[in-house]
Amino acid sequence: MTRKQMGYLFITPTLLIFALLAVYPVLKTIGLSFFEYRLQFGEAKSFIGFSNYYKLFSTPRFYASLRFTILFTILTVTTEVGLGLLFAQFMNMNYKGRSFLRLVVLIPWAIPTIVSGFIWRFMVNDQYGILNHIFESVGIIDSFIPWLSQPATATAVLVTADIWKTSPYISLLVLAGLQNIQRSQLEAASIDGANAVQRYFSIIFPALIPILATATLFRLIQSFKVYTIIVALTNGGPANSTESLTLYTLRTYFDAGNYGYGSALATVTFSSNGSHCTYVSAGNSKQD
Amino acid sequence: MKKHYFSTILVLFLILPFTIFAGGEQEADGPVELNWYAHASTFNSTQEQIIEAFQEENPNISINLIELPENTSDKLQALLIALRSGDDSIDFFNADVTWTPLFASSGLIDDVEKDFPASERSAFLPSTIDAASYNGKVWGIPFRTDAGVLYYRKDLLNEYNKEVPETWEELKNTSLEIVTAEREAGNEMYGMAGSMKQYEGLTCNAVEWFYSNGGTVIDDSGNIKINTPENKEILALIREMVELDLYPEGFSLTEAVMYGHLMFQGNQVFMRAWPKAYALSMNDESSNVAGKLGVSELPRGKSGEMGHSTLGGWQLFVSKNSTHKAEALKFMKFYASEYAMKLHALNDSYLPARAALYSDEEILAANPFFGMIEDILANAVPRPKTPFYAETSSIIQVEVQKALNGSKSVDQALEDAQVALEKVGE
Amino acid sequence: MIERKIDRVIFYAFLTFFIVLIGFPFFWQLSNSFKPEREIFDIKWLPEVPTWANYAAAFSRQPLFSFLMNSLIIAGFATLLALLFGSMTAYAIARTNIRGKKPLLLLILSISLLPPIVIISPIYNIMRALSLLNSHGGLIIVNMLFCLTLSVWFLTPYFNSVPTELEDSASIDGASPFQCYTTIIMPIVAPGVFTVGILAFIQAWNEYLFALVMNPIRVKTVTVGLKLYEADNYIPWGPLMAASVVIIVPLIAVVMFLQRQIIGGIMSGGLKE
Repeated sequence: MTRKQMGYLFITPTLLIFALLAVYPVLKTIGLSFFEYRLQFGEAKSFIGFSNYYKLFSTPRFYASLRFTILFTILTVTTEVGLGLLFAQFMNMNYKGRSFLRLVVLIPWAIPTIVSGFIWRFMVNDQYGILNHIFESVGIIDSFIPWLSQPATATAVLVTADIWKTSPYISLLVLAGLQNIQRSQLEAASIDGANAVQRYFSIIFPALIPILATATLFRLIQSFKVYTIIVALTNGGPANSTESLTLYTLRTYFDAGNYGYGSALATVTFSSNGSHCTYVSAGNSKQD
Repeated sequence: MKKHYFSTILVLFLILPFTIFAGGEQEADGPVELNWYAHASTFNSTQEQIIEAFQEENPNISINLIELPENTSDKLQALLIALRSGDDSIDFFNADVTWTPLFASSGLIDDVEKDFPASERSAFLPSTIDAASYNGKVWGIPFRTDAGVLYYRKDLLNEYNKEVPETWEELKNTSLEIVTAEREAGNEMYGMAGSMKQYEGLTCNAVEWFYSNGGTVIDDSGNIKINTPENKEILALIREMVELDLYPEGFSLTEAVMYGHLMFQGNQVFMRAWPKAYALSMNDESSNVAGKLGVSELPRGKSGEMGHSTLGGWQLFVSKNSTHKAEALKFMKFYASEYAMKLHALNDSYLPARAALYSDEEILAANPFFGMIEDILANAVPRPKTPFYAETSSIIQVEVQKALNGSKSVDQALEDAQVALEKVGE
Repeated sequence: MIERKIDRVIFYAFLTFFIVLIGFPFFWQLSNSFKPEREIFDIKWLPEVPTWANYAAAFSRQPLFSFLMNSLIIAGFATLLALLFGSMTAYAIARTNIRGKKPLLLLILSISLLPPIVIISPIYNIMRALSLLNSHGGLIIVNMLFCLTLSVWFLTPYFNSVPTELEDSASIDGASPFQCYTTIIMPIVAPGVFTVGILAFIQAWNEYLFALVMNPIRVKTVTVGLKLYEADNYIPWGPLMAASVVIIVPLIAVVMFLQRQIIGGIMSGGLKE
């Protein structure tokens, strides 16, 4: 057996797994989106063309969940990348306690999303939440407020919880980028008399742009799938104002038992994500 | 070590199928094991007591009680997923009254026409049998019925010299007066609470408001009639009460769970809840108001003739995939026997599904208000009977909540609900 | 290094602020897991009368131990399988001249970014057909899919970093490609495989959506089980916080001991290939 043959042999299991568990399901979902297929009618399926899509694009709930998902994605990704840059700068410096910071930074990343959701729900509780307590004693609010019962504040809590969990991870990616910047480049700049801020914006930041762009796109795609943190914190409420596309689709599948319409929703989510994906891949191949 | 690393993975991989898939051996002899997916245990462990009594009589059957999630829609989701998987580990399970059309039309359960004949059904309240029926067949054995009631603080009404309100208008005025006075005296006090969180409880509350004001959701001939003057009027009144701060600030978060908390702490005048809250209110550990709560019918609206409760309740369904249906039915009937229902009534204030128990003296002594429940039940209204109930209910929840938290006008919310409900099932 | 004293003070003030900000939710969870219920409602910073009662309750209210075992089995086997197939694939991509490497990498990338809802319903039906629902097997396979994309992605750079001369000289000595793989390459990349294994394990341990949909009632994992603590009349925050501490302790322990490797792993494979 040559090494090349062994190579083909070695990728076979992976390819089979991908074909069965990813490629086939995606095609199947796209296919089912053209059928009327509901739990209430047993296993009977009937072809209805684009009807599920007509229905989808005339349903306010779809637009509401899309709007929330986009809002959530933009708010979390921009803040996370910003904070990631800042934390990375901290982690890259030389000082006592650096390893402690690195340890602390990993904790939110390692905690399951569902757990962090519960912790935040506990902290913003309207009767005994520590955040209410802190804000009240500092004077930001007059009395305890029920954060999760108004759309705006509920969204704010969701966004904060996600930022808390993910920024540290971004900062590690940025740190990797920082450490790749040639020391000589920096030294050259400091001989030129550039101060720290000038140095940051003239050398460090431009050097980080490729990694930031990729990180941003990755996070955009991941954030677009948001689900678990919502389940733990608001379950889509109040009045579906924090219902993401994924949550809406899941409820369509498993609460309403409407598999055809659910597939149409999933397909729309997939294609909007697909466009990001193409962009990422394009960006990636350019880097090679 | 380095070499071992790879071979260890290989070995683990090879033995993997055996360790995981070898779990399904059957014991040859011994009792038949049944899996019952039920409510979470109550603090009195009534379900466990009933199982014990049953197993004493039937040593050849043993029942595993498996807890379902707390929330009704989580229960439904978990059951649907598991039953659709063809899993035969679910033999029978607790089902909400609203689930009958869905399960019956999806073919996931067997009907109980033969095993639960008309002669036996006649001992049950007609509304419970009606809720278990769909397409001309009976699908479930009811063991508990439910109807919303109004709890009030006897001591506070006395102190302020007020009658138990008969209309929503009176309820608003009475609570406003008491709340205003108590708050001026520096006490934390709220007027009213009900299930207002986006979940099934909100649908129950909303249906009650509408019917109590002469309105409806789906009329007798199956037409959607939610956008009506009666419904607008009563919803506007509830919203006014929200704006007057008579409901706790976090009202749209509060499940049955949290509003009971304020009432039991003694910081609330009225509460709409299920009868089981009475047993909780009498428990000194969790309640400061033991003995201070009165129970009454729900108030009516300005345009309504009488208050109506939403009909709730639970029944047992037998899974199509169960391999021990005969044994399962035996226990299901035992659980719906007078003995079991009485135990639940005494321990947990569960409303029995059997008519005879409403004149049982022991039960009436433990739950004085059960006497008037018969009337309440007679006037109780079922929720819309449709296989698309989950979608129907979720539309009602969302639109009503939007009207209450002010993100939409009452008119707009009901108009949107009408449009959305007409599209359900298309 | 920061030279001026005032700068250093400001710097450390900022640093402390960030550490507190990031660490606080974890601290609060830990602190409340030791408080009796009364102190939870009174909002005390630290438990005045620390108690283990919440931990006892966490194990008695729900079968937390079996949740942990289920998660351990599922995440463990998913990781092992993913590492096995992943290291083979990564080797093939890095060290052989097979065709179609680029499309393969793109496929891996797109799968790792795939919204789970797009595949969840068909996967449910596949597992139903294979009678793998409500068992460990089904979830192991699904988690393996996502761990596999991660493994290939992170392992390929490790394989790339092994000098080709090693393998070449072994082949001259008459070793077959497979022998080279097992006896020369694998031992060198073993530490990397180990690190990637940890990343994969944490990912599988934390998975919620598929665990909920595929095993809602019989084989519950820790993430699904945690939601069951919400009880009839209230949320038992003490036991809930205790249970969540128990769930994350293995992860935190791993993070503490292997901090350097994990950070290295994330940084080396995170974005570049």
